Amino acid sequence: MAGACVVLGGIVGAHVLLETARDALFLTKLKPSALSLVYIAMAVLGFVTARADQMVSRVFGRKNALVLALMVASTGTLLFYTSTIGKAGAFALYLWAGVIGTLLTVQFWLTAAQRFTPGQGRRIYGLLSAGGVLGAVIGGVIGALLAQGLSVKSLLPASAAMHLLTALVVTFAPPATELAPAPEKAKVGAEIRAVRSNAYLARVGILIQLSGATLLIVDYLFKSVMATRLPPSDLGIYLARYYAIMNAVALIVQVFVTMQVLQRMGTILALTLLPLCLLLSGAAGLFFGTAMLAVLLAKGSDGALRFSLHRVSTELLFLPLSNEERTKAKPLFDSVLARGTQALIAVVILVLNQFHLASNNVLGTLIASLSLLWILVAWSLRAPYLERFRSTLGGQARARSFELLQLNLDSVVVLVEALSSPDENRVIGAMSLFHEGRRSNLIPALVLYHPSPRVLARALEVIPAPGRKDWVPLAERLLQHDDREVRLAAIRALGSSGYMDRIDPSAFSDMAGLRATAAFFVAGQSAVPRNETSVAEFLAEDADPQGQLALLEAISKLGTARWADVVLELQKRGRRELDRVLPLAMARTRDLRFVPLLIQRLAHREGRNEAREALAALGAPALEALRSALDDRTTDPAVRLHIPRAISRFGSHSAGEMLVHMLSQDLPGAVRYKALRGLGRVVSTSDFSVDAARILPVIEQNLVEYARIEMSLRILGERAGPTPLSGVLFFGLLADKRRQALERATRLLQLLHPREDLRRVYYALLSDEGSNRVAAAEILEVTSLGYGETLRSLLRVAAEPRQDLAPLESYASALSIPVPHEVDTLRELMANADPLVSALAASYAMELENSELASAIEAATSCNAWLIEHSNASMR
Amino acid sequence: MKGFFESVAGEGTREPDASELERTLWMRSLLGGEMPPGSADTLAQRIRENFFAKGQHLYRQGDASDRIFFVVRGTVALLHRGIKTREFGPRDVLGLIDALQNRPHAFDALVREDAVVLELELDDWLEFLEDSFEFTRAIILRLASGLPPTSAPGRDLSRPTAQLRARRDEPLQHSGDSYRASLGPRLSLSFVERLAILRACPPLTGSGIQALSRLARFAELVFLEQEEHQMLVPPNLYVVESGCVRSVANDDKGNTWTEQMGPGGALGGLGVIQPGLYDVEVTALEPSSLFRIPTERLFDVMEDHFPLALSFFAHISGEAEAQALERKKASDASASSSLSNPASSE
Repeated sequence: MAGACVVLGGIVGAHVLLETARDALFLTKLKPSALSLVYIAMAVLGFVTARADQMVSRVFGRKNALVLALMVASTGTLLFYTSTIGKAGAFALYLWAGVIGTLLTVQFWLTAAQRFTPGQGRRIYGLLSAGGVLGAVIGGVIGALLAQGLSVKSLLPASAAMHLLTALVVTFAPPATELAPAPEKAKVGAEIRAVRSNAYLARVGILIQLSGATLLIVDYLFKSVMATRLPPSDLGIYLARYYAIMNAVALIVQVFVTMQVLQRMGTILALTLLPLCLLLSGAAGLFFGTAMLAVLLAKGSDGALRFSLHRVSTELLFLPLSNEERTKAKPLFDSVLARGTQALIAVVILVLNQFHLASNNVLGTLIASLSLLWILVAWSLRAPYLERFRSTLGGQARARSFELLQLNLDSVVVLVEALSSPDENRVIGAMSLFHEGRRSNLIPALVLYHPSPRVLARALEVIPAPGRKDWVPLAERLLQHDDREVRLAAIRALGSSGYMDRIDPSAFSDMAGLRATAAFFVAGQSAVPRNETSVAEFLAEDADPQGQLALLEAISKLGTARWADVVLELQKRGRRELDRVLPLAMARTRDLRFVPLLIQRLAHREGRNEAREALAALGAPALEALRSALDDRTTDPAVRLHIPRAISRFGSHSAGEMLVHMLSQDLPGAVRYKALRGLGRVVSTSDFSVDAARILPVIEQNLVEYARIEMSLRILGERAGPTPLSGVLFFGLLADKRRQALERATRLLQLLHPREDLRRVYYALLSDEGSNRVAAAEILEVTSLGYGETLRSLLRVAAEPRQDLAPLESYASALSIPVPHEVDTLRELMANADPLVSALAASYAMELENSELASAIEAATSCNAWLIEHSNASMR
Repeated sequence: MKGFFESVAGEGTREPDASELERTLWMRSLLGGEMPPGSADTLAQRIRENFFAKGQHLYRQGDASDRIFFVVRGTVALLHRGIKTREFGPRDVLGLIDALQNRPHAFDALVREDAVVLELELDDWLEFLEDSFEFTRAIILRLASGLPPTSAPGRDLSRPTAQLRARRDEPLQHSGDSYRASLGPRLSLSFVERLAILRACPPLTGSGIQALSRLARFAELVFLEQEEHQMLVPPNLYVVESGCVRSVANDDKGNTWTEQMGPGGALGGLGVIQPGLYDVEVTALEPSSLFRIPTERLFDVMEDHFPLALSFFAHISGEAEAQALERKKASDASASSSLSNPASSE
């Protein structure tokens, strides 16, 4: 890492020296308009050199290719020093410096990409760039001193020496394992096609072209303005000083600004800063009416940001790519695209010069337009950039739900075909989809000939509709069906459609269920059905439960408020057979007297789901009653536990608010967890949005817990030797709690970002797969933009790649605490409020036989004796 | 332009396309009526449809098992070292056993007839199960009913529990008190030891410690004297706490299973977690104690601690696989014996 910094510093420092001499000599010997010609030549030569470099890399390996290039750079630069530099020499020197500079930079970054994992890259690229900028400062200062004391030409041997020293550093650097093989030879056409077919890469390519084009025009404008405004004799010293100052500013930006900006704004926003500065420079120039100011500001922005923030954020764009994609795309971008753009812009400048149009205003407008485009393209990368990370995790943004009400012709064909399937589940599924799409009229009545009783029962529920009669004779036939459920469904269908006259109750006098269903329709017109004789038969203490069940089923499907007394009466019977249907009947009749009964039912699995639905159907009074039950400390804990999910069924804004409130209330952990799950349901199924200010502290709290447990596990795990049984249980418990804290934190984040699939991020954070963790880290980086720095640093620590486990110090720093020792950690855990943690910590501590822990063990065991000691007293 | 505006519109609803509806329909029909349709539709949106030509592999032995495959059309054979072990057709599910046991694929899945397969990420499936707990409960009960009333023995606990017991007899050096003395006469295990015993029970092995601690609190103790008999009462999960117990299980077809269990063993396997499957009688071979965990309590804990459900799935799939391999071995043996003696097969 340090070696890499030195190498990049050497390369950049040498280049700054060479560049200063080059620019001064060129502008002294030639007119600025000649720059367009040199740009074209540089583009062509750069392209050829890049291809040659690929070949050399394949044959000798990356490291040797870099050494060779540095040696060639040193020798060539020295040859220029020993030659007399006229117009042709200045032209050639410009070409030489440009080509060598690009070649060495590309070689360095490709070598770095091969040696560091993407996870390391995110942290290291910023530091590497700092090394580069430091080299630039050193180069700039040496250049300024030499130009002042000796001559501009004396910068050339200094650059050659720096290249040579860098080559020595690379040569004697310890060999490192290359993570990826050298690139295979590929045809340019194939590479371009590969990039064009990849939407993300194509946009990155356009961004690089736009930035290259804009900065080239800025460079041209700067040099032409300098050449016209300054006397040739001062040019060298002025440029050397200017570059030295700019590089110093770049170093400050790199050290103090780049990582902060990247962390606070994210990669994509960081990419827009340089073009934004260029735009603002132009605006400042216009405002003050001076081209010089605009040019100095623009070039200053270029100098301060290009090799720091812009370089790092552009490199980060390559992180989500596979190694193969990166190896193909990068040389292509750095050679063909960069050089092609350079040539194109050079031709444009040449043409403008030819027609005397290359004025400051025209070039300024061109810079402004390109900067604007640059910003737009950078912003357009936001979605595909995240999508690349999402696809690494195997996911995508959450899909929009489709609307079954709008079945199109193709969909109807699929469903009609499904109706003739021999698979009863498929037929039922198709009927349900028609029903949900309010297209039950498309279900043919012939389905009532289906052999499956389940299909028949469902068909009798969904087919009857006002004005439709084709099903009636078939339903009458089903009154004689062997299956009880089909007969009941037939009675309900006929009764609810006004065909009770087709039913002869005496035909099933010995079948209580059928009689009860018939009684429902007979008493249906009565103001008080409970008083009807036909119904009263089923309310008696000794009534047949099958009849009661059938009556309740009919009420649950077709009943009205008038049936509430009957439901209440049946509820008092307390028969278990009725548990599932009672809540449905209560929901249908919508009587507020049922609210407390339904809340009590939440404690029992049987009928719980139906009770939730019933409460939701009863609306605001039921919601208020649930809130009171939750606040009441005397409420049965088994009921309290299920209140959050019952609240979530309301799906309303008030329900969402109640659940948000619960997250920070003093409630049992299990209740709060259920509130969180319920809130997730409300957010995903309604337009309720959670107030970030209320959720963020809870997220932070969970991340702190995660980091604390992770730290404890790592500290306790350092002990050598086999883990005793109590340790296995204790560590298992801590691992459970760590996972839960992380799950809660990601679920909470999900509430704030309902369109993002953070569940996959959670799974990625649990896995050891490096690329998944890097992708998760990047998604978290983007989704947490604008949140507090403590929270973001905790998220970063949680997403640290496993192979580069963050040192304990980084956890401690994120938590703002010193790194504790094993004894302190155990003491703290023995004092934990959770009795299980405390007891298991004490059990484990006993095994360690450490006298320092004695008092803590005694305290923990006295608090949790029931957990640690034999529970014999109550046995037998 | 319409497409562009739709793509930037973000939220909202839209018409389903035919293939999406087909997947929804397929998923609803596969999962039956035991769950709310909305859950099946959400799952259907996460499914990817793929076509595999004859001769292609769905997966190979050793591949990561991170997704499950639903066969819509065609035939897929499961091969072990090139030998077919089982064939799968429409509505069959592949890859689930490996995934639930958290291991790489143990077989090659080779397409025998051009196949249309729906692929679902395992994580999506698990999330769905966690969100639709009643469905999960129904699946566990249904799968458990297909298993014999036996169980792999619990992990060997003799060494660690012996360690724990020995430690009790030693004075607690730093406190000066005898830890043993604070415990009173030995009758049963401490809570911590209960956790260890439950963790050794095969269906509970993959569960988290918090879930085990809740089960340990719900567990009632049943004591058996030597040679004492008792019928196990469903719906409960019985785990041997201490001692050694023999169980004899019978079904209504006259089949009998006999086995002997030590601490951590699940008596009657999962055959008594629901009523009406088996009659299981246990006999203590030495003074023994059993944990009895009511099934509904078990599911209550499972609903709050989903890894417990995963642990059950892993156990059930492991048992089902072992059972299938047994059957395969038996059918191979009978096939080879009928080949060697053609008269007997007739």
